[in-house]
Amino acid sequence: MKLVIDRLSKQYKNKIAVDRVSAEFNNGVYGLLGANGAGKTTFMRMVCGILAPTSGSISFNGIDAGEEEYRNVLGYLPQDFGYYPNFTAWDFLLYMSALKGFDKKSAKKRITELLDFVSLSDVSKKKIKTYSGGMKQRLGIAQALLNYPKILVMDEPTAGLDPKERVRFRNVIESIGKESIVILSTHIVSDVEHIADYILMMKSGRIIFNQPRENIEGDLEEFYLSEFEDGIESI
Amino acid sequence: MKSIIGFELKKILQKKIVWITFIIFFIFQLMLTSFAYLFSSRYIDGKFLETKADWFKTDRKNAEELSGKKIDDNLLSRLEESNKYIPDSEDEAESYEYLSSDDYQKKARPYEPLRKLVKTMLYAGTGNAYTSITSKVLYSTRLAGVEERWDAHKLTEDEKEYWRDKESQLPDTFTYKYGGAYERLVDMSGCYYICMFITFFIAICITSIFTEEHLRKTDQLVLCTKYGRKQSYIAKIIAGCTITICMTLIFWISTFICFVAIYGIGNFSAMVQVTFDPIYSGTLTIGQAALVMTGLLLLSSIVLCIITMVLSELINSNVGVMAIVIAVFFLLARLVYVPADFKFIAKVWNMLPINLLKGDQGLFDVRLWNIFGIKLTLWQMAIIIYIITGLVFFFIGKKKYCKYQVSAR
Repeated sequence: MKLVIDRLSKQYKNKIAVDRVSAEFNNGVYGLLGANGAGKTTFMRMVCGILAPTSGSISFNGIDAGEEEYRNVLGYLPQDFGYYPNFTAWDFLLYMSALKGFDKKSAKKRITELLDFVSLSDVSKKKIKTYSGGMKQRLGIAQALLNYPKILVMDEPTAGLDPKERVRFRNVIESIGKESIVILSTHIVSDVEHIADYILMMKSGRIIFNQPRENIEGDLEEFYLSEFEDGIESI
Repeated sequence: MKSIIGFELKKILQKKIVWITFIIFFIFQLMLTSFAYLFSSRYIDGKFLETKADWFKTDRKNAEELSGKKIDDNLLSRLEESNKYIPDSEDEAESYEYLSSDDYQKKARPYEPLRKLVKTMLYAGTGNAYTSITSKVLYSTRLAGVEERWDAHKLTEDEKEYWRDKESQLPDTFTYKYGGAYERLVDMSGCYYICMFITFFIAICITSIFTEEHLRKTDQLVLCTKYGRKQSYIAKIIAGCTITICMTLIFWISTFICFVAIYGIGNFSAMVQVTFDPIYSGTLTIGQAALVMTGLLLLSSIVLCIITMVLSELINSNVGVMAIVIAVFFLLARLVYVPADFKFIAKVWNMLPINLLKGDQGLFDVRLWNIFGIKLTLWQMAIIIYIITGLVFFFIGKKKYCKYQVSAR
């Protein structure tokens, strides 16, 4: 399983959001770090096929990101997204599973598992508009995991989660990363410190660091800050 | 696919605005079709004459009694006989004393439906008030009216030839038949009103199907799923059309039931010429005309629904599209009359649903379309144009939706 990103760029009029990014992703958890405005979200949207690159390509095992087959193996949790307020969590996940090509029977089984995992089983028949921010975020995580994704893209996934949920979430991501490619964007270093197999750092649309976690000695946060202070472009 | 459509329907039906709009319009429609029947009466000179219900019942009974009678010299002479009981002075003929008298109720009123028809046929041909006539004069005067309409619409010789052929297929002597509910569906109180309400319903409730996904930022979740592009688009279109069709059918069925209850079902085979438009040259019966109108109503609702949804996706604004739909498909269509001199524009303009479903202006319009030597009436051409327009908009919308980019917000 290989996700190949080749000279990927995105330009908005006079601003380059992502600048000739090339990388290869295999199974494992990839922590994407970068300050606000570094181009993380734009990069992830392109990986998810919902934003066309100005140039470059994205493919998974030779399948282009624009194809239905690619979307079939993709799970995405956007940073800022909405719900259907009058849907219950159960309805919402059923709808998402229909969009992901599940039949009703297997969808129900998977939804039951996921609702249990995100601790929403008790409130699954309540309308989403009654949920707190954290509950909505957990529901978002559940929908991203619905189709056992081979590529799981999560943009600031821990936002709104309490410390206990955060730890639980990290453990799940770690186990998913053994069989899938997980790209996890955050600016909270501790979120990726213990689970990421690889650390990527983005600055001004470019990946300035891409190394296995074990290559970084000492505290990741200190390393991250030093990278950005020095402005090293080391890829 | 079925379950995606189901959820799209659920999204629409969970909106309060959909139910509020439906209930308000439904009440309006019922009031328009039956309010006069249920809640009003006729007062002449401030004196109570009869309830509207009794009025309609009597008129219906009289019309049904005349039904099946040939409009020949014999019937016209009986009509002439009954005319003797009508005062010469218009004021007197409309006075309480006269309208409540036996002369009117028992002698003149039973022939009222026929009297109206003959008057219209004569007026169309001569512009004169009704006088004593024979069947020969009646039908030749009608023909003069028919020709006058052709000239007023600037018909070419080719078009006139087409209608002359249709005229030749009509019987020499018409048979009066009561149109009942079919006639009401064709006139402005039937399909036309339903079309008006459905246009508003679409403008208010259907415009948000696509735009809400973008406004709520749910699009990014949907678009990156396996069936989030093509199938999701088709499901949304089908859901929007399903709701529109259901609303149209609910309105149509309830209207038809009211009409049948008030006016009776009528005769499906009644000629349009003796029920709705005496100088119409086609061979459609009033029942067929009602069916054609119902078909056009359904088709135009579906096409308008697709246009509205696609426009909302193209310009990403439900309020903007609401304004466009109401302005173009309702206000402008109703207010702007294109003179016959601009024949092509007038023909196109009259194909707008709200114009087409006005019997005299749309369905029975005599201007023809010549497509590769085949002559088509306005409503026949409208079916083709509606289908093409619907498909064109469908594919434009599909292209736009399938390539939608979730960019900076």
